[in-house]
Amino acid sequence: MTRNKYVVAFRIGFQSSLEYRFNFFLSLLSAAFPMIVQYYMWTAVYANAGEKDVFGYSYREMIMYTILAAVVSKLVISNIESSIAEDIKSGGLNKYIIQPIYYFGFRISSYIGQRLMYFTISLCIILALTYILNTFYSLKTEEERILIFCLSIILSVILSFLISYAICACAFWLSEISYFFVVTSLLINMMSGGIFPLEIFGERLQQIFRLLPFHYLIYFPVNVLSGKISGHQIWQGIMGQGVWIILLLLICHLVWKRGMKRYLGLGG
Amino acid sequence: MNFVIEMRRHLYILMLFAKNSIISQMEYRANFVTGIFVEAAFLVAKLLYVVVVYKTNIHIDGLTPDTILMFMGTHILLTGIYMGLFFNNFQRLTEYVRTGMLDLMIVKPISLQFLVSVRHIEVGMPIPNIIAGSIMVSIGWSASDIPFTLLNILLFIIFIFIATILTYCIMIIPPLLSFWFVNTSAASEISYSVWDANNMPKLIYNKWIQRIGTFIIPVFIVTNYAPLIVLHKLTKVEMVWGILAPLIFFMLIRMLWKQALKYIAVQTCNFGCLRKGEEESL
Amino acid sequence: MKSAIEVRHLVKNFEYYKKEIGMRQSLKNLFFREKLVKEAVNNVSFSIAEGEVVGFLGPNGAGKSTTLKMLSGILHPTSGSVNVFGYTPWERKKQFKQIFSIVMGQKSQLWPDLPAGESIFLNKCIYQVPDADYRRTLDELSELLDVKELLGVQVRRLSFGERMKMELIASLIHKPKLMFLDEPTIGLDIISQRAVRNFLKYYNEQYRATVILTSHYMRDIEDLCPRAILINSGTIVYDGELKKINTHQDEKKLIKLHFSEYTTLELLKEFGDVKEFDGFYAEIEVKKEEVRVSMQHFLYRFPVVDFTIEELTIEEGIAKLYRGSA
Repeated sequence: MTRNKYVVAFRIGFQSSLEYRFNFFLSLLSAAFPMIVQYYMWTAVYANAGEKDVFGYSYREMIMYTILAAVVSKLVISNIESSIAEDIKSGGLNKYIIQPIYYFGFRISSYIGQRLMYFTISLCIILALTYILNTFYSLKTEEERILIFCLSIILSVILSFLISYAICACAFWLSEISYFFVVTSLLINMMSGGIFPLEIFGERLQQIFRLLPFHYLIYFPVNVLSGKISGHQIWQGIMGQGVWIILLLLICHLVWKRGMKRYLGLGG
Repeated sequence: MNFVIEMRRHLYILMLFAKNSIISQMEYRANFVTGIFVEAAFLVAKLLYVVVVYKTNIHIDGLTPDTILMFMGTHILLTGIYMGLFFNNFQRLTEYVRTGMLDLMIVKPISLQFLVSVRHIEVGMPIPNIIAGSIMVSIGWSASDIPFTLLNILLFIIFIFIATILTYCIMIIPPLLSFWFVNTSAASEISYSVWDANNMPKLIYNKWIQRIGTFIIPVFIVTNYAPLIVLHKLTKVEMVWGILAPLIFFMLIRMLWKQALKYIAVQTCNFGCLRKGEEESL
Repeated sequence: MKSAIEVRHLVKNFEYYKKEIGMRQSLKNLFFREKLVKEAVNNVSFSIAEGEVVGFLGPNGAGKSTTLKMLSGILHPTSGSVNVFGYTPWERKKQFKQIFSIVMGQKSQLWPDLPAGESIFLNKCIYQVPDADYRRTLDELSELLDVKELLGVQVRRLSFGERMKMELIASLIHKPKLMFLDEPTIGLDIISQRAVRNFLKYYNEQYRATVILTSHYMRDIEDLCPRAILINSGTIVYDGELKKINTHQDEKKLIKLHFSEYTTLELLKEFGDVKEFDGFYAEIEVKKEEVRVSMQHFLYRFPVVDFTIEELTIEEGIAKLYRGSA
């Protein structure tokens, strides 16, 4: 039986995600708390504001954004930085240099394995939530929009992996990195719209954020689903995701190539 | 008498721990600085809520944005206290169980709970939160026209102290679970998000959430009671509960702690071996 | 002699979950896990007198550490009784904790970023050692171990050997009358090993401290322990004088032969157990009463240029006992 090494990496990732079942169920729960705070906070805000829009969102849109963004951010943010950095720091990369398996390929397969379960379940939750919110607020999300959302969320996951992978390369140069990734993932979450919609940052900061890839991770797919973004803007966004994926592939390739040079220079 | 002697001994040892922690951390200045940096980043994320509160000019049950700022400040101040006193210890507790370091501590003639709870005090990480929290409380305090009397200050400090005890009781639960379960990162994650969810006055929530957060998992006492008492918005019943709660919950945690210890003494061989080694080989 | 430790019918079982390999199994494990029981210590009884030094021997996972942990109160036994200086260890009375200490070669109680002296002082406070006693003990122990001037050096800057010496001082600062040593010389160089052994010997003789030692280094055991307890698969397979481990079994001697020409293995096999063979050299285990006859044959039939007749080594005896009991 021939076993593809990437399939093996995928399996290992998948099994390790199942290993800690207790954890698995609980981690789904932790997404709920920020949702609850923000739900009540926005409810209080709109109670004052009346029927007016706040930051350009109606009450329903804001609640929808809050709830969907919380789940989407759980789904999209990758958390692979520390294990890759560990490989770089502890010399774990060595075996990938000797073995004929590309580290990138190994990582992405094991990542998909690890996240498949989360991804599927989160996606079901998102769709269920959309349905519930729609019935609750008597809105309607067209099937077409859901399909585009699924497409954009897949692109987001890829984009998120690539961003993390590029950031991981910092471990080749920085000596103390464990804290570094906490800061980067927090900043990325903020700039992706994972905490609040980007409108709260004001016009000028928003302009800057639009030049960065991060808003494609959460802000964009959530607003596609909620209907805030529509028409040709959707396709523009998808294009943007695609362009950034290509750009990041290039960036990853370049920084890792330089990083590996440094790694081998130090190691050998 | 015996109690007083024991108390003094424990306090003295606590001081030694603090001294040792400070000396240790001064060895790693880079870590010290990055710790401050990381906490500052978390602080920025929390300040986003402040931005929203002021930009939307939110009013909650008669509380103005300035008063709400005082609640948020209390929350951030306590986050700082938690980071300084407990965070590092609780993280290590899980590690002690996993590596079997607990073996060496269990045989010491001193309360094990005391030993693992306060052995490492963090100096750098709490700085941003404590400074920002204090400033926010002061701004909120003066903007809400609360008289700056000795009594008010004393009451505020007492309730901050009560909040610290409750913080200990709430946040030690996930690391305690690591006595039973190998991986409790999700439980910690939940406790952090519950903690972070506490940055708004409890008045924004509906009655049931308020009751749960006050009486069952008393997170709301942590952030709300200190500002509420100086605003004269704490009812008699709440005041009594505010004093009883830390006693009750500390006792409950003490019981849970004893259960956890009993469990590992009965169950594991040498914490690591069955859980990791044997599982892999079998 | 007064007995320090009495162990009667000690049993310790562990429960754990069966883990199966493969995708389907891990999915199954998500909902259902099979519980298994491992008997780590199985009906163990022994007693140790005050002032005695006893070596605990056994292969990895035999139950040595588990037994030590029950003696020191870290673990509860499943059944059986232990009496250590009148205390039941797992009640973890404060007075009980004052009389013993435990040293594990692989775990450190010292703060790595502080001078060892600070950690020792912390232990002084925890064990409530009076100031005068503390100074005297610290002087004496650091003098003996020759680390007096290193007390002010950060632990992580010390060598492994120096660290272990500091570890010993920290665990002996309250003058325990009972010591559990779990692999105290692991990872040390030969000189440090010897220093640690000599120190332990001195401490035992000077203070009549009872010592229980586990180690993988036979030298540690041979040097320190007149008595050995061998544990395998959770049961005691030998308890008695270390030197008599061999006589306890069927009596054999080891004959070492050097040949001038290449010799075949087959011819040697009929005389006994061939332990080593490379054509020009052989080690053969022969029953004591047959040594004379065998030697005559060897000298007569083989091109022997040199030979020795030796007692079996203790290690060999121990290995036999393990094999016999497994």
